[in-house]
Amino acid sequence: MRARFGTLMACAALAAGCASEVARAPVEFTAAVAEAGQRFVTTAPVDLRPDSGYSRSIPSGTEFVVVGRIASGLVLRPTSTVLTLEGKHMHEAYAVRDRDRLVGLYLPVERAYSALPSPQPMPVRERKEP
Amino acid sequence: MSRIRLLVIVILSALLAACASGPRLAEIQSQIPNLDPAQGRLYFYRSDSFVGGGVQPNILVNGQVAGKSVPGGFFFVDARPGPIEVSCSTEVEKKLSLVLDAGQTRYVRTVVGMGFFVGRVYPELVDNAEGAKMVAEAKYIGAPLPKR
Repeated sequence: MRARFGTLMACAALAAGCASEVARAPVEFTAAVAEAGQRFVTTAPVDLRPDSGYSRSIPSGTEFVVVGRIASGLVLRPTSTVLTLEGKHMHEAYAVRDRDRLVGLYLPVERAYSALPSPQPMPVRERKEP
Repeated sequence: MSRIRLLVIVILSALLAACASGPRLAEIQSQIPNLDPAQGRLYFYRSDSFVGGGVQPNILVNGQVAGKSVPGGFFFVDARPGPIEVSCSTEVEKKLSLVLDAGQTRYVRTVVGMGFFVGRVYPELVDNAEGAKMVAEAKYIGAPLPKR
């Protein structure tokens, strides 16, 4: 009975907000020059499963604009939706794409990069029309 | 009157008292000042729900109280562009960080979660289409607006 009570209390504590902090590292961000304003649209859904456990899905047809680059790839900001990375706290996030894969998320407020444990295919097409 | 009926009335009264009262966006739209192009605007709202309705913490923007999280209510604040940190003063603090650009309007929803002793409220960034739709259905609970 005591063990069951302990388990219950532990579960309650976890549910009460003991989520882990999002793993991230400071990174140097360079604003886009050559690709500035270039827009891409996802052509398939992309599922994100960060270490923090809060998964996200980017629907097919989501538009992104190139805002810059970090060492891990091109930084893409969603134009009509929002992307967040959640752990102990919630952070606005931009997609980081490299070689057709979503490799991680850039956190613009923290100026930090959070790598995905397993990069996901992120097929896109360029949007030229206004 | 039976005890059960009395209890139901008391509970319903308490639940209704927890919900926002105020004008809808359409009624005050003309009173909302135009956004200063040098600033950004943040709308805060909370869906109308009886769950956790009694938990109505302050909402803080960059550490300053901006308003309250009330079921079915909304308000807005204008802020200098740049990094923004939103938090609610509940049992467990879960912060939201976002970037606000000049001339930009963004929407933050406050959500009730399960806490250890009481419900906790935390902020979530939502896209503008959803935010605008939800704010249109909510009631204004912000500071008095200038009459026009």
